[in-house]
Amino acid sequence: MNIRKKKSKHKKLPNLSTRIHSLILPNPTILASGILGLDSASLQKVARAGAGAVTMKSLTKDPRKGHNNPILVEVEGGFLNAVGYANKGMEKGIEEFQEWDNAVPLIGSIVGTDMDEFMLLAEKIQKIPIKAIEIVLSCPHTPGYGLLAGQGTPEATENITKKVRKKTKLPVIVKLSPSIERIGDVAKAAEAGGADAINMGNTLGPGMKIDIERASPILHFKVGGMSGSAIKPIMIRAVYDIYKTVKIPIIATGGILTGYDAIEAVMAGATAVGVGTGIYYRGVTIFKKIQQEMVEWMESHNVSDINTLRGKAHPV
Amino acid sequence: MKNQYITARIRSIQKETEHVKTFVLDTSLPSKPGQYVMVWIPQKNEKPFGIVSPDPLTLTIAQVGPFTKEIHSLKIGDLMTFRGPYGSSFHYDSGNYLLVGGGYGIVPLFFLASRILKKKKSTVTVVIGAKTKRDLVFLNRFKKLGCSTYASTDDGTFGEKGFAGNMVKKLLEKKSFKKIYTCGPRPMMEQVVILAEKYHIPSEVSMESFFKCGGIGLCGECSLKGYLVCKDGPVFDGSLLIP
Repeated sequence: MNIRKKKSKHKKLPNLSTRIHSLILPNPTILASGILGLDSASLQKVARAGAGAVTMKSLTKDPRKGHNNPILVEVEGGFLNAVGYANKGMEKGIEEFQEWDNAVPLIGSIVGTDMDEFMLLAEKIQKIPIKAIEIVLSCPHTPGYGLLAGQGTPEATENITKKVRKKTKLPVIVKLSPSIERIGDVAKAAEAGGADAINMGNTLGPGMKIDIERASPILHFKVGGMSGSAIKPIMIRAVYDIYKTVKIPIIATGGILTGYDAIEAVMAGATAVGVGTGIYYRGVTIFKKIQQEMVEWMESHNVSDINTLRGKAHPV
Repeated sequence: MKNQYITARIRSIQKETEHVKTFVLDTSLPSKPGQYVMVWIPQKNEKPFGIVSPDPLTLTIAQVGPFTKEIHSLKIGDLMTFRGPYGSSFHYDSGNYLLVGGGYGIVPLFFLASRILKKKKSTVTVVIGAKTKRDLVFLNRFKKLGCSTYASTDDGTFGEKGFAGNMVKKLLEKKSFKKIYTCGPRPMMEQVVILAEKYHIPSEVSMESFFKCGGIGLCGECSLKGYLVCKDGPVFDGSLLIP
């Protein structure tokens, strides 16, 4: 008994650390944008809970009120949301986050209506001590942004990425939509534009939930993006497709709730995983729980480094 | 799946003041004092309201904007849709308690008072503060329940002239309580919490905030010092408000 204890004490834990260009992640879990990311105190809480990195809620040029409530509704297998980019705008965002000094890297997320706005935002957001910039070209529920502004095409993706690339030496992450067909082409366009990573991705849809007692869609915007377990198979397939077409790292976001989900995403080709809706199901400690589950799985399968599992589901 | 919407009919409506109405629904909702529901009007909006009574579900709503105006236009027999209950609740057992409400903030404390008084050897003292006589709500309801009530108005049109906090100060000079609960404007709650601390009495506060996802705890809109008012709150230990 004692011998065994001693043995396990000296046994090295499997490595979970990984990197996206210059962004070094102590573990592959990243808080996805739009979840608890409006203020520094919330992000600090998530950072303390063990996230490898945290992403702020996307900032727009000017403050936005967002859609009226309800902005979020639970459905089978997850949630539909149409928040409409409610945020205080870039200037207030800079004030809120400029003191960020946590050891956990902060990713700055921006959304713009066109190339020039993205460029301006990319320049401004660097006033915050962020370690990477995420540009979101994939919102399914806000007029003027993302899919509803035609930002989901290969051409628009490449052009916007190029403009942002010119403004920063920080890693540029492009967040894409799982709703797009031939996602590989869009990812390739982001890579051609100079992206350092792909985040796959945003919510799926849009979808709708109708309350039959009131004969009305529940979301005020009527439609919203789907998150949670239900979208995981689609996200996994998209990561798999993207891994085949680009060389840059992929962050898998969409339905990651457990360490086993994370390992599945890594085998599809992901370098890191985004966690959002999972917080509802497992609390903010989900970040630690995912890591524990990954470690347990890796130990029982004699895997010493998470990076060796990347793309393992692809034919050799 | 939690977070399901429940649609009920309005069984009765009582006018409390010119701008405040109490809606009694034809359903009950197992819940605890301090918790709230999100009331949804299709294609309009959705907002939180403290539970006044769980059986039948009773909500008291002040008309303060377009959404509450919409609610006030509802008639007996109309539908009301909500989800919940959400949030933390007040902690209590038996003993002598003090409840301090400012304006409509007194409303969620009614549920608490009714529960405390079901306990043996318990008393509830209530201080209600309002700007003016017109805005004083629930005084008679608390009296009927068996509470000792004190009222103050900022302009002296009813009860003692001045802030509720001053009334609390006077009470604490004479009497001690097991705990003080307060809900209302933040400066009032801060004053009450500081007074409670001075007299070594534990306190609990019910916070108000703008809610978006409302109780689900994902959007972060209601973040306060790293806590979510919609999920970790709305009831917090009074120490939250001590600078």
